Amino acid sequence: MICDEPLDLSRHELLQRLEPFVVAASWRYPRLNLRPLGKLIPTANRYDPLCSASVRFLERLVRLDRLTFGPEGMPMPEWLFVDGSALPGVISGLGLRAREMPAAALQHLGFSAWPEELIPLAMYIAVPVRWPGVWYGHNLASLNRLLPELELRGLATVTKALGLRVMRCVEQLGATQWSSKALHVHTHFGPLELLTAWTPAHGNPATLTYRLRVNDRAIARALSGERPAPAADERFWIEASDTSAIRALEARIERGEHYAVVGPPQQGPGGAPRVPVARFTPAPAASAGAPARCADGSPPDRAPASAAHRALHP
Amino acid sequence: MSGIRPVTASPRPGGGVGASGPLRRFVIASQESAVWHTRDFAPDVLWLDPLRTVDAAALGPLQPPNEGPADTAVPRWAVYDCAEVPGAVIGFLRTPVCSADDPSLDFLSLVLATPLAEPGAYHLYGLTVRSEGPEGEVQSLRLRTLWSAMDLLQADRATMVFPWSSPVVRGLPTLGTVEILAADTPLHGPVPAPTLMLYGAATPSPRRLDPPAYRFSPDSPELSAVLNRLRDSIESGRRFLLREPDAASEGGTLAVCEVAHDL
Repeated sequence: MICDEPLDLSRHELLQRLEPFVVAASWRYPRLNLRPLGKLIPTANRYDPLCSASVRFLERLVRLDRLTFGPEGMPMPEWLFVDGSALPGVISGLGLRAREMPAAALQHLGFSAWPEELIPLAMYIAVPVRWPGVWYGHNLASLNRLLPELELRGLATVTKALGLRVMRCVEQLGATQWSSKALHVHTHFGPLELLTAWTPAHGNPATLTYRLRVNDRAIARALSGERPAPAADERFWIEASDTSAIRALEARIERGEHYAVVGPPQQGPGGAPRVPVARFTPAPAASAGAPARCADGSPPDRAPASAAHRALHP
Repeated sequence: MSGIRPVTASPRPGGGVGASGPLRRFVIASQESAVWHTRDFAPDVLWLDPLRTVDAAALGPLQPPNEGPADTAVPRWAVYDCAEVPGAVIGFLRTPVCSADDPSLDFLSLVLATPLAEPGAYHLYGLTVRSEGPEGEVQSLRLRTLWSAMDLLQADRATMVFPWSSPVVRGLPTLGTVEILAADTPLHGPVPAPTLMLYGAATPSPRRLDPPAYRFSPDSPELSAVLNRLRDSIESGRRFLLREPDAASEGGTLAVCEVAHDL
């Protein structure tokens, strides 16, 4: 049985063209939404990272990560892909069958594939923070820019929306650099409440850590291409390279003041990227994720029970 | 960070987990993580929050190796993204320091913990021990570090991946029941490494059938064939436990028993 998804956005152009997939340990499937945004994830597109049959697809995801983050110097070693992503967390994304892709595109990606193989074009990775419903998203990879001929504009936003729904996420934490283009995507979903502005514990201190409250309306709006209305009154700008301003903002946060990134980066008067920030009143903590609703009251859809599944659900 | 006193770690299950003496435990975890909310139960532990600059400044010496071969180094961003904020980094300090400002802050051992999506369950990895002592002492520290993590996380189960040839695999059953979830974890590296699940002491765990279904040495030329059979069995739905090596086992032989069907 497949659970209902109250938010049906399956007519979105990218969701119609692309196939969703998910990677998660087999025992985790009953907790997942396998019809995110109204788009069913077929059984064949559900991969168990502990199953030998998943190896080829997992290798493709590692390649996707390297194509996206390798140039930024933040690729994931394979073992970390298992330890820090696939085993504890959930990976979901969108792809195309190899036969639907131009041969030049496959060659560009370094993929040799059988015609029926699923080629991942984007993925979102998150690990749990608190149970249930609070996740930390640490990887949003998209090949949109590498494959302009496929016309995948908006792929990262759709992929993140899909992932948030798969995980039944009500609150998402994440970290990104002030200079990152990823802020364009994350701010589609609403204000990013700043947990840190200056982050010495991260590899790059000019990193912000944020909290995003996730709700249906924000996801629907993000996929429509609209942005939340800016809070213009108290808005000020942080230049991505202005470490003094970033550190001053951090000091105010640590004194208990609340701020949020309230829109996408823009080009400042001098041409440097700058990010809109405003005082922010935190909403009450989001309630835990609603349990799966099934039309006939039956248990949620699940992957075949494995030894590992029974270990966690004796 | 006030009132921190050196403690002598208590004995752990499995006995003989050495490195006795005053060892201070530390936890790096954000206020967002579930483990942060257990800190009142562990007042003797040094707690550091990576989201606060004053604590983050102290983290430098408490980092797992982040330079070197890709099969051992943990990128700094990954420690932050996968462990410190959502979960924890847990370990022992080399000296019984009294505050985060102590210049001698330096870790003796640590392990990264990422929550699983199942309440009470974690994935432990990146186990690192900095000791030049004899192997017995190093092995004790490894196991003690893992157990300490289970304790501080209040974990009832933890998954982990270690090579079959690792001493940790041999020692893990001294801490509790160990189930083999994968005979050779896909993509984890060139060396065969099982995915194991350690059950907490208070967690109902499966009962094993004796005699062992498999006995093998990680150094054996037949290892690959044995693991292929074990993998096929697990993927067909059978369950297996790693048995504690008995004193008579020679050459590092490991014993794997099937789970009894009464659970």
